[in-house]
Amino acid sequence: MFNKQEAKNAIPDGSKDAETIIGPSVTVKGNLNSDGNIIIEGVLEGGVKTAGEVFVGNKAQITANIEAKNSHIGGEVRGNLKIEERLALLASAKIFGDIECSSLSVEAGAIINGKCTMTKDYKSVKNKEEKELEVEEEKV
Amino acid sequence: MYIYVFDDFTQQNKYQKSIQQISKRLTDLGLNGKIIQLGISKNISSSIEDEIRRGAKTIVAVGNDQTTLKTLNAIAMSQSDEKHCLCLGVIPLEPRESHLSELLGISNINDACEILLARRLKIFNAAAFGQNFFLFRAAAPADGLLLDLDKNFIVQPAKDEIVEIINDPNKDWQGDKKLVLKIKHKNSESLFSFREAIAVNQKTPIILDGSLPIALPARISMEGQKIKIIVGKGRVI
Repeated sequence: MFNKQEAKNAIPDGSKDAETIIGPSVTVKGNLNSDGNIIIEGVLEGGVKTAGEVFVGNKAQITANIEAKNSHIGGEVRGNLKIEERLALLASAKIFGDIECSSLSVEAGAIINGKCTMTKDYKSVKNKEEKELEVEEEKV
Repeated sequence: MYIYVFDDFTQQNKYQKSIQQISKRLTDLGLNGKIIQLGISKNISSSIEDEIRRGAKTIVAVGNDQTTLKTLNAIAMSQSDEKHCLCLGVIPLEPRESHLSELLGISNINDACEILLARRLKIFNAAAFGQNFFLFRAAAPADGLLLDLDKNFIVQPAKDEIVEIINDPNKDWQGDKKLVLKIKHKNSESLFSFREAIAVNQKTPIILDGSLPIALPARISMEGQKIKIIVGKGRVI
């Protein structure tokens, strides 16, 4: 009678042009270094470092430190997060480690076990995001 | 000078009509050359090396995709550098079953001969796989397969997946040379790009360009060879 609301996934539709995609049935061990976006839906042990964005799916299990420009997390991460700009934790996210970011959003239900440090002035990050949005709208 | 490499299986009776058709067409077009018939005692690599020493510039593989790959490998091992690149031509005896011919724009025997005459050249970066080379794709079932990418991380796919290593000549890596590892599952796909990898699997070999099986372990890299191939107008790549 009532439709079950589907759990939000950390992976927005527009991010499928990622340079690296770890699917749900794949296990990766080691250090993943990239310049582009990374999507993780499987198991990763080691480290993740990219100049782009990291999307962690709801069923992903990561035992690694993550360094990225932005990140959207819906799965489990055992490690420290060092995000240059924006970190979004979905309701299904479970973080066991310390967080460093400039902008943070946390949905109700997300679990964080660790320290949280905001590294930059939030207003300057928000101004930058708004300017980027204006430039994109002008292009369209 | 043209050197025509006929694979071992072309001696079978069912191919004689096609071979006569090829022979007649090549004569009409003025593309006669030397014939090398492969067999148990004839090694393709040493035959091609001998012909290079004698001044051969174009080697034409007559047979199937495996013939093309064997000839490509022999050329790649023999040519010293890009300046002295040999040209590879292809005449498929069964074009409908030849995936490589389709990609190169060669649809039938008559077209193949006309394409040789037109001599439209395209340079391909063949990727290295162990002691062999491949043009577009290496594939294997994932059962038991492990891949060490760029000595940075190890990828372990699930048993029921298919693993492909793709060398896409149309992909712009902005000066860099990379291969793509694709792992296909029922409803998902994994994607990695890399320069060098070690593939290990005790259970099944990997198949190069849909035709040549190679046993593992092997090193895979883009530090392969530049190969000039005579292609058709209707080529896909």
